[in-house]
Amino acid sequence: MTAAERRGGEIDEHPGTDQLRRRLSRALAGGAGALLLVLAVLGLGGVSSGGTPTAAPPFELELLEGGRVTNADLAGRVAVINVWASWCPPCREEAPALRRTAERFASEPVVFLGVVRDDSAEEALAFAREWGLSYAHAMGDEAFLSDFGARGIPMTYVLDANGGVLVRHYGPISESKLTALIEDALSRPAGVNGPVEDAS
Amino acid sequence: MSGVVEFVQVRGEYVSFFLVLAMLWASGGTIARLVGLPRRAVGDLTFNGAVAFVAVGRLGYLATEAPRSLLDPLVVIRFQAGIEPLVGAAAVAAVAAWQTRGQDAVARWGVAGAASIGLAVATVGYDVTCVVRDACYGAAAPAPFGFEMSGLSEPRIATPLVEATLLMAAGAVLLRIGGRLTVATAALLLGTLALTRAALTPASALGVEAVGLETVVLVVVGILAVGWAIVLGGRGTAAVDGSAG
Repeated sequence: MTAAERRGGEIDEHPGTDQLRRRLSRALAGGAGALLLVLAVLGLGGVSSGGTPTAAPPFELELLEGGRVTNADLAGRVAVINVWASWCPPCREEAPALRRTAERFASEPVVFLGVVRDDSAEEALAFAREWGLSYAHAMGDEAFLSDFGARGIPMTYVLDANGGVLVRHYGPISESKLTALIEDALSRPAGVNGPVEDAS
Repeated sequence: MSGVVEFVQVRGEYVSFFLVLAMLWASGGTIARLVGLPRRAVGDLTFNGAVAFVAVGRLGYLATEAPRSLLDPLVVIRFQAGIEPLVGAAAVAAVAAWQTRGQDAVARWGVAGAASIGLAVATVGYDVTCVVRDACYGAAAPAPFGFEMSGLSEPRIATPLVEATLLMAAGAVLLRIGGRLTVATAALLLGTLALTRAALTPASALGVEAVGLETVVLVVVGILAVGWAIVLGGRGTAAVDGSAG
């Protein structure tokens, strides 16, 4: 860098800087205003994702400890599918809640299934053992993650006994919330679907 | 083999990364004029800084969250598995310091300003491109603050878009405050805001509610930064940022 160029760094002496600052300021304010408008339209317009349960996409996944799991293995029971990874801090945060809730409903027609994404089987098994997640865990493939819309982790899905997805929860889930969701799903008679209010 | 096939599929995180790079590249000329540096110096800073941010930030994340993954190259280069933003920002600072080694205070302030603005641009770019990553989720809240998003059962605040709005508004105010506040000072304040946003990213991992907290903290820091800028603008800043006023 030359001395002349360095002198250009003295911003307040640069002849075109004030004009540039004003133009940029206007552009940034315009951008912020546009984003605000988008947020307002989305908020007031209520972009909807539906709200009624939809049938869980068909899947077949390989279990970490051998064997495979499909929709048929969950049929007739309320199913909790939790998508996680060992490197994900929020997954660690929710692990005790998942363990306690799984233990609480062990004698009920409720099945838990962990689906691991972007992780090695060894790391995932070590994590599951460390946190006492003794239910089955499968390795998630792209088709499963795409079909279930599980692009972020952790994601938790609650399926009713008919295989309908009642709840899609993003982020770590608490024991009280998961318990309430499972109890609500259990209270629904088999063969009857209806939207579940996800009380937060 | 399936791991390789899975890896090469286009992911939102990669699209987001390249869009951020494109935004940095496109804004390079303006940043250079703003801080009074040659375009090439800003280009070098952008390229080296982006590489350092991603590489060091990624290694920092893995070292703290999944140290055994450091042995698996495929896991290491997967963006979606996390980057530690503060470690990445420290790497950018190191690149800036290396780039201005042996130069005077004016050149160092210019590069510091460019790095700060670049960080803010990258943060806004990353936040806005949450759309392509399908990661605009924030805290659960009723309408009109939250709205239903595809694939989720409860309405959420689009926190990244809110934070991008806040950063852009703060940038507009900082630039508008007037000639009394030097670009270097305004840039550093903006960089501090962006860094606050980046520093709070791990907080969002503590729970969905923390994403709301992140926004609140950003608003408070933004108000303080703008207030500070107004005070500095009123007093003059020659003694503060080292550039001749």
